[in-house]
Amino acid sequence: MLPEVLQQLVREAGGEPLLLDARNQRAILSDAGNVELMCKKLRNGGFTRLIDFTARHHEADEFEMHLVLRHPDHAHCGLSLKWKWQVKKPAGDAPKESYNEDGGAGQPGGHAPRQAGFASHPSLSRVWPAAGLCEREIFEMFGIPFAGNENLAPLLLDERFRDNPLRKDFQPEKAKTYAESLLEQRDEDAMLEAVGGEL
Amino acid sequence: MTQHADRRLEKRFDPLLTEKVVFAVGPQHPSLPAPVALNVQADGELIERVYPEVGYMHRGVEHLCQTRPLAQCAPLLSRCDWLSGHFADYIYSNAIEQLYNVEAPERAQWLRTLVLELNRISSHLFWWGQLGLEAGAITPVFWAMRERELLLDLFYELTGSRWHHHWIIPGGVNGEPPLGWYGRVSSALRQVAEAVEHYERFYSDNAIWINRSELIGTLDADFALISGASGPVLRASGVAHDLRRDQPYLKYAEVEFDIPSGEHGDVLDRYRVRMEEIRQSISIAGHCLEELASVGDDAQLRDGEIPEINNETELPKGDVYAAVEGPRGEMGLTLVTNGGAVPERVHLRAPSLYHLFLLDELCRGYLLADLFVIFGSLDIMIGEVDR
Repeated sequence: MLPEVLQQLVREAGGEPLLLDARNQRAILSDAGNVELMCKKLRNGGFTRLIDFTARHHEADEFEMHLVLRHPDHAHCGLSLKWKWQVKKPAGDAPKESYNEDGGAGQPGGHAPRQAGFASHPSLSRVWPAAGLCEREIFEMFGIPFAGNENLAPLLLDERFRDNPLRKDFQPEKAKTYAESLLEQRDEDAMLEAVGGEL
Repeated sequence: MTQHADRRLEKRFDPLLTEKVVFAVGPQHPSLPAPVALNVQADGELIERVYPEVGYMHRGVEHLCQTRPLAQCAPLLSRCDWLSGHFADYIYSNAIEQLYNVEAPERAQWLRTLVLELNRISSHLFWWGQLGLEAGAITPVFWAMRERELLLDLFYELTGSRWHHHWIIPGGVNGEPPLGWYGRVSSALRQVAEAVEHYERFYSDNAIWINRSELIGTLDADFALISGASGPVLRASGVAHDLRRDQPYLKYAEVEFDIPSGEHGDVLDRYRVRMEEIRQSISIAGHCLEELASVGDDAQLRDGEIPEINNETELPKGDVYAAVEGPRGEMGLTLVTNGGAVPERVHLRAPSLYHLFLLDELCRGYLLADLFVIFGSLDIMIGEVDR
């Protein structure tokens, strides 16, 4: 079980420890508004290893974030944290932000800009660098942008595919239409090439 | 960029004027085990940056798992890392057991421990053969496949399948081993142990191998820790973290074994750590065989303790994280259920994802010829990266 000193640390960081079993201690962060500050406290308290960071689409604009941490000096117990996060749509016709920074200066094979228009979740990559990769995946699968993460380029999906497959409102038909449009484009390109670039 | 990488580049700076080039290795390349593009920026022969581009094998496993009953997810998960299918079966089963708050019977736990260690050996043998190919030696892969075949035959006898087993199931294991199987396991382990000594004699004093691996692709312990590294990659950097000892599951708390670790975190350390892990796994498997001769009869929980997981099974509401020390590092499964047969969220923690993106740090300042040796030393499984 999580030693008392670590349970106290979780409480100080704003979490409520919930003991589930001997190996995995769980905690819920009730005030997700200060999530970055809470995470910094946990890291400074010794939870230096980020094991996993993912999300779950709850309903409408509500998400649940899941974080798994380890304390190197107390490696016998892990800490799973979760908190709710609401992604707010911008009011009216607010300009859409681009969260793709083309992967940093001089990145070869950079991706096309990808747009999103929601309020951001603070990036945890400033606290645990390993979170950066997880945030790329969360952004493309759920559409949750992370303020402060300089590289939210698509990780697993085609850069031209602009939908978030792990949201509950995702329509698989869109992926099919997208695949068909790619094939059509390929046929069109092949035809253009055959006739010398002009139809 | 770490100071370590900066120093390497400075030290190996080529005073001759060379032109920077950017090129892609892959996604289809003879030295890559599966489709992945490594976008390389090089100054002459010195690597400056490596940007992996993944997704070529993306099959939407997590999306598929969230749109069908959980009973249909096991085959999808074990196909993410096809070299260590038993490990995916274990985290799937363990996650369900956590939901029902039950533990598999003692005999099943010993059997699971045995099979996981056999799977670790077979995965490490495959890695060893492939590493030889990356370093330009073709013989090791034939030797490795010869020994690995012994273990795959044992899996075939036990589960009816060589790769995708589904023998570890929620509540226990799917059937007892056939008659004489334990004896054949002992015999195979003896052969593998002899073979590993032979491999070591071939590699350990080989000047070509030492020159290709010593202080190549070094990884600082601090950088490894904050970058999400785990398993042999982390241990080779001197951090002796291993879930089997830190958070003992199954019967690992009752077995004595060493956690090998390295010093420099270079290719040679990663090689030595994995070779020693094979020896430790042989020792653990031997201990399991001794215990299995006297441990109880039940290898599966009875009806009522855990239901059969089928398409109609309504799972208890909850969220769990199941983890296992896989051959490539910590493999984890986040499972969230809401009371129905279809899970709300299934997420696989793939160690290879974090290790692949270490390449940028590991390769910086080294020669282009070192790229594949470093890549091979990480034992990356693209199937679990892309999912």
